[in-house]
Amino acid sequence: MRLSQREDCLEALYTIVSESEKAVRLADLSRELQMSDEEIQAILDELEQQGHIARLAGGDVVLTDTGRELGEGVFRKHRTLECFLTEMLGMDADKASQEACRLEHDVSDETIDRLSLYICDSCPGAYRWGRKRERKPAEEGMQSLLDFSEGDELSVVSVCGPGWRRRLIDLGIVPGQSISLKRKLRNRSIVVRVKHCDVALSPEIARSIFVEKRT
Amino acid sequence: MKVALIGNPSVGKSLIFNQLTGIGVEVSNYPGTTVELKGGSTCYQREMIDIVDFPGIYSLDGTSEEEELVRTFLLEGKADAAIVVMDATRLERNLYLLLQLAEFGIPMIAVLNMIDEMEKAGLEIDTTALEYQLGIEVLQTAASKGRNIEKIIPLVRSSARPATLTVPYDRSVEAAVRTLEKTLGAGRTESLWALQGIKKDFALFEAASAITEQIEARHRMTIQQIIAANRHNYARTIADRVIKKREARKRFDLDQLLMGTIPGIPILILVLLSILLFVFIVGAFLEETIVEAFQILLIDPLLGLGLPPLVETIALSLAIALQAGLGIAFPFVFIFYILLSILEDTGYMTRAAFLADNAMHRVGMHGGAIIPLILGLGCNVPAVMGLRNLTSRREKIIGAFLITMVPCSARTVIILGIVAAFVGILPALTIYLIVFLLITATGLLLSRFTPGEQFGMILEMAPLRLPQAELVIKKSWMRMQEFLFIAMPMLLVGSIFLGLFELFGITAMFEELIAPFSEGVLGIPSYATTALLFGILRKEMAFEMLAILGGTANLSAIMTSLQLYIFALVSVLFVPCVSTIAVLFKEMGGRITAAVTFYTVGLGIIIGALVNLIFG
Repeated sequence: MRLSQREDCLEALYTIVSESEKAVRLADLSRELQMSDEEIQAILDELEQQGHIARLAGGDVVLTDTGRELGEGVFRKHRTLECFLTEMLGMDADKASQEACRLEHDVSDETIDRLSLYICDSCPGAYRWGRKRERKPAEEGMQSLLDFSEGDELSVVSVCGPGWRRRLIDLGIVPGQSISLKRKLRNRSIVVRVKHCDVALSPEIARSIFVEKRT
Repeated sequence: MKVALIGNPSVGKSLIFNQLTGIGVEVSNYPGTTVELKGGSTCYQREMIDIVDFPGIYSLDGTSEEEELVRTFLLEGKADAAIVVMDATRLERNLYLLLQLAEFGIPMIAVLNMIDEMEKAGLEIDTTALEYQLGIEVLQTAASKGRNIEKIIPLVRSSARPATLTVPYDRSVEAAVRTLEKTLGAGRTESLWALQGIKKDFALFEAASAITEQIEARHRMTIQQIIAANRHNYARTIADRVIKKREARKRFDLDQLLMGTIPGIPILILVLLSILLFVFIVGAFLEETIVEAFQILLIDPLLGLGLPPLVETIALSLAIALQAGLGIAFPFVFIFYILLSILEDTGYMTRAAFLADNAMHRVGMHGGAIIPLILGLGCNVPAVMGLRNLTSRREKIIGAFLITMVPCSARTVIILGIVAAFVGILPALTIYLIVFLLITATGLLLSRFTPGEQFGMILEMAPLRLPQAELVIKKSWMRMQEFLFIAMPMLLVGSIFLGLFELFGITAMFEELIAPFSEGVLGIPSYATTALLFGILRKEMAFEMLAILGGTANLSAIMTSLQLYIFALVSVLFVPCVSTIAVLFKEMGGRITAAVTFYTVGLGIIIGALVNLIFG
């Protein structure tokens, strides 16, 4: 059973319950979700197993405390995304709602996967002594600071590595920023000039900053 | 009224704070000098103005300890106004922090410091234009020359106001902010924090992270990068508008020399060696003069008086303690502090860090760690506190071990006062060599076995400056006070007790007890081992107590060269002093402190015994 279906079901239960404060009839639920009774029963079985709902005699459904909490969370996320899409795209509310409904479940899986491609969160967070390994650029054809030589005028393309990203950002090493490679020792410690300040970087950090030559 | 001094590292906040309040705060030319809040107050037109000096930070959105500290302080509304201190020569980068601070909406003024350096660099900043861009008052100052500092408080008092600027963010970020405002009623600043993943309010955080995922997918950048890039861009726009001219004056760039492998690394070694040699030579000369003066003017006349034994013991103990403390420790320690202060103020420390980066990686840390290690030459205590600037626990553990092994100025006193003075300068240098080798070996070993991650160095190079004599002396004197007012009284009291113990025969009993170990293992007389134990209180006390217990400052009369050498070597290596142990405990916890202590005790005894075995 897909996670999104369970979340949909919880959200529906939550909306119905918060309107009427009563146990939910199966018919109401299938109308809200536009699914067949069999499908809904399957989902409910699973939710009951996980302790999010309880079934009353006669097939009516009530939310447990955890179920209510989860449902509320999905509901809130849904509203937020809906509002964001409206703000962002000027989409009409109905269309945004549909879009948001699809997104609210998928953000955590698909999007993240795609995302990590670009910001290479998958890069190892740190450099370990003793296990030196050459790291390939996240994408083919990208060159890191270490591939250039002293005096080169460069522009930052992307920065990866979560551990030290924050300090680099604050010093102005963000995508699009012009920097120049001021010094590069034979042991590959480097100094870059960014915003009229010199910043010294260890080789493993320089390796995580992808740049291109400025024209 | 409470005013906060906020700014990037090394922009002159602490110097301004000192001049505003008259309180001594250490000022240095490298990042991370101020690690805690320092408060002080000044009186202006019969009103008390409290001034808080914050640690230098690059950002208010980060998660580092200092950034968190400043953010919380501001969030809790503890500051009525802020003084944003900026380095005029690095305006664009400094504006980034100001833009963040502006979003807090607290009243503020901007201080453009270091205009003397800016003028030298051929720059001019249009203050009126900058005021217009920011919507707050801007004052140009030169703290090192005291220029315009007196205008700061009146200006804060009369015209601090919230900045009117708004950073134009990316369309999607703005949409997200509006969304959070609409759905949850969050303010602009909180929304921006939540979007960047700073957890304050759970519902807000949850909603924000759902949006964040959307934005990041669209932009192929993290939201932190987007927001930061927007701010940096806006900072550049402002800087471009207000910087009037940038004469590309061709000046000789000293960094060409300092930051190349050749001659940079030879220069680094030369700098460190010449510091040691200078202390050796000048310190020894001063020491001799002062000790001599004490002997002729105080001790000899005292012995000539013929006082009753009890009074004579006490008086003599006091006199010898004074002689040992002021005559021996003072010259060395003070000269050391002066030299280190000069080194710090030139901005050379960051160059040293850059050059040492590769070597420091081999001992499990990065170049930045060389700064606490060099500082450790002065005193281990601030050096251990400097460990906070290291990122991971692994680096901190390794750093804790290595720093406590660095011979601080008090240990230099021992090496110089005993070995250089009575054995020779070359043997004295071999002690440094032995310690250096042991530190390296320890580092290599620890980097193999200490668990955890290692992060690389990201370090802003401090500008090179000519240190000012007045500031250097002031700083050295401040550090010296600790020695005069804490160490000296301890020495005096200790000395009196020892004198009394001696008089009543307690010392003899203890020495008899310890004699087999002392003479058998280390090959030094048992009273020397007693003196060694005093080194736990303050390192140089081992030496001073040796003089007191031996009854003479002329040590070559009572011990052989080898004995003196072993005594010095063991006392340099074994056990960090009480203050170091205390600060280690605070920074690193009990387990690491115990490990460091046992390790150094063991090392000291083993090396001492080895030397005795080989040469004895």
